[in-house]
Amino acid sequence: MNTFDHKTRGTLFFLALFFLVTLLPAQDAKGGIKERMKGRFAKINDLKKSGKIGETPQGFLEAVKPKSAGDSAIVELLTAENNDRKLLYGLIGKDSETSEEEVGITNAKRIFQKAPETDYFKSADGVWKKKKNMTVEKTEQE
Amino acid sequence: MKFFSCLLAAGFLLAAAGCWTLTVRHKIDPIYITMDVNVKAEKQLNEFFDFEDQRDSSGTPANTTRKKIEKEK
Repeated sequence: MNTFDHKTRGTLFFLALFFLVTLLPAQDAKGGIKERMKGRFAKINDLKKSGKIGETPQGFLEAVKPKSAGDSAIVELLTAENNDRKLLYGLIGKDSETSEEEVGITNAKRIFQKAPETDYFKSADGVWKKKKNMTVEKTEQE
Repeated sequence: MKFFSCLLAAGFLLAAAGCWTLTVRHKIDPIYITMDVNVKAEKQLNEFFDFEDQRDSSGTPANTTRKKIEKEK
C-alpha cells in the first residue's frame, strides 16, 4: 500500500524540513521588508521630490541638506528604510552569491536609471548633485 | 643542422602559442562570472521593487507620473 519505504519517507521528511528551515524564513523576511518599504515609498518619493533626501552610490538614503538631517521625522524614516535595505542586500547577496555591498551598488545604479532628472544623488567625491548634472555617472550608466 | 634549427624554431613557436592561449582564458573567465552575478542580483532587485512601477489611478506607472510632472515644471 505504501508508495515509499520507511527509509525513503525519512529522507523526504528531512528534505522537506531542510527547505522549510532554510528557504521559508528568507522568503518571510523579504515579504516583511517589502511591505514596510511599500508603506514608506510615497513619503520617500515626496522627500526626494522636495530635494530633502537623496541616494548614495552604496544604495542607501541620506539627507541632502543639514536642516533635513536635523529633522527627527526624516531621520527616523531614513533609518528605518536603510535598515531594511541593508537586510535586503544581505539576503539577495546570499541568494546570488555576492556581497551585500555589491548588491547595494547594483541597486544604486538601478535607482539612478529610473529616477527623474531632479532627484539628488551623491557623487563618488561626496558632493550632492541633481541627476541632470551628473554627466560622468550618466555616461558610465549608458 | 638546418633540420634541427627548424625543429627548434617550431618548438619555440608551439610553446609561445600555448602560453598565449592560457593567458586569454584567465582574462575572460572572471568577467563572465562577475556579469552573471550582477545580472542575478539585478533581476532579484527588479522583482522585489516591482511595487515602484505599480500603476496609479490614472493608469500610468508611479515613477513615470513623477517624471512627467517634473518635466512640465
